Amino acid sequence: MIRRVDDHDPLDRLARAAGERPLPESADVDMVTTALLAARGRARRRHRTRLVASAALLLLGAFGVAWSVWPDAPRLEATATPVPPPPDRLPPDPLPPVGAPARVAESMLVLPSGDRIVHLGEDSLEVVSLGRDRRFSLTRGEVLFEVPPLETGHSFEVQTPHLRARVVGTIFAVSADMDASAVEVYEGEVEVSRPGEATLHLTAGESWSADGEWSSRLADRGRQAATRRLATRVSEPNVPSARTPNQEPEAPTLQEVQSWLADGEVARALVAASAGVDRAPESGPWRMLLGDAQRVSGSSDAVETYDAAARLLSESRATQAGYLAAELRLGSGDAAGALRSLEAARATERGSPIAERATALQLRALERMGDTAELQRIARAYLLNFPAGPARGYVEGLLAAD
Amino acid sequence: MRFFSPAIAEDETQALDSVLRTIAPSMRRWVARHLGPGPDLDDATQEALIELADALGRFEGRSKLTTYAHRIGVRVAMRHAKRNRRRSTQMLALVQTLPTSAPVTPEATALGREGIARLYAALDEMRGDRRTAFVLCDIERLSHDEAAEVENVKLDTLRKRLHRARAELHERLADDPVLGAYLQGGQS
Repeated sequence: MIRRVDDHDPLDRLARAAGERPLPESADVDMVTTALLAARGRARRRHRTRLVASAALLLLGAFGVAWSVWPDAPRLEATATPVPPPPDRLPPDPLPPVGAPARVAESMLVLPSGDRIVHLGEDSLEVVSLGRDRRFSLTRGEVLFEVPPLETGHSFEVQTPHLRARVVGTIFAVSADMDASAVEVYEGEVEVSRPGEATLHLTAGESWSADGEWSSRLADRGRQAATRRLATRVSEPNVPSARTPNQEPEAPTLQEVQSWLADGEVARALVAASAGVDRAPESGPWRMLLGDAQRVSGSSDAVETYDAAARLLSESRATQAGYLAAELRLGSGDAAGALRSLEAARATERGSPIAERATALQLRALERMGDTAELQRIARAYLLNFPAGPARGYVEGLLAAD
Repeated sequence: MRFFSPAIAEDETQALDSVLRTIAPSMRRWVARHLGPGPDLDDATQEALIELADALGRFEGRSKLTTYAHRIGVRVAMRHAKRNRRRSTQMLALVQTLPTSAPVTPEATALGREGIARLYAALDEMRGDRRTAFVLCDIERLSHDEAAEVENVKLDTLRKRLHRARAELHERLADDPVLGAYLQGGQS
């Protein structure tokens, strides 16, 4: 069926404009890799659940058979029918001695965040979350994590049934089975927490396991990665160390940060705008952008930032900053402060590009303050200067009420 | 008949990888059109791809693979849209403050960032089925038949939802300071 296209319908034109909006760039390849990894974890979990369910059904079946064959048998004897344990409850393979070669092929996944995950194909690793807070759950097997230095506010955790390993930026291996878990660190530092136990801090070369003797089958791989990273740092002195947050290689431009904010990357824009203000404290546009980011993130700092921007910006842009500061002040109940912001930015004066909106806001502030005389004067001026203004109805109402 | 085994074997992983790589750009576009401007596009696309990778094992070929994937994308996007209603208001506040270098006319504003943000803010307030019908037919520009297939509903049902969605949007946006006059006048 051919769909209707109506060039004269404004809603249709609006919808089409929404459909033609360009999309921000993205790393689809990394997303596919992550999706495959996560789907594999889910499939295994479902498989395990099915095995447990089958074992439970087997147990119930055996119980039913015992009950029907020996109806008078005591309950204890019936439930004592031996049932094979589900495969995922079988005892784990014994770990090889230190230095023993890996028995299965290694494979590696690279996440969009740059984290490298090396595993032996016999693990049960599940992605709990990605992005700023990357969390993984390892219930069985052995996995090596190579984590680039984390950015401020990011975290990386691996949870096993027995411990939680939280990293700053490091290379480490985690092993888990039904009975115990172990951690070995090749670079940086890992914080290991266990329920009811004191938190441990493991540094490069240290490991922890329940019985005190364990070395990962991926140890060689981990040491190689640590050596590779060290070599990179030596040859590139500007690369930050493993424990310092990443620095932006090149500061983003004002337009880039604006587009981040417009695309909803609020936290990223907030950090970048704040850095921009630090770099150029006398720049009105950067301060205005910081105010926008603070406003969208719900920070009350936006008011002061907009006021500061109004003092630094060109006259026409200053009126906009002052208006936004005033609007926020009025919203928080500070009518007098709103009037001060409008006045300082000269937002209501003739020639201001937002004189109409600013005057309407001024009237709302005056109404809130109960300043009747000034309210009437400004209301009459509004009707005179903006006879077809959108706030005309409101202003006429004010005059009629008085 | 199953296209992929639930237990993902190595060769099937390659098949999955190939399918996902082919569909990923479309998935991102579908999710974006349903969510509107906002910070969740990457997260929602990733989630949709994970759901698709997970669901391909159960795909039985009763519809086209792209339709199946599209349906998953819509479902995930709708979940994110519900979570982020409050954020759409914040985004609206933001786009009003962003300076623009283009000449500002009522139509340019209506069809620009601010107008689109306002459209999605109104869509956020609508029932999910009407919203989906509007996005599929009027934003994604699918035919009614295609949209009904993605939604897995009868053609009549889809048309009713679309009709109601358009009427509701006209009503919701009538008092909107940017879109109201534009929608009533065509040009404003």
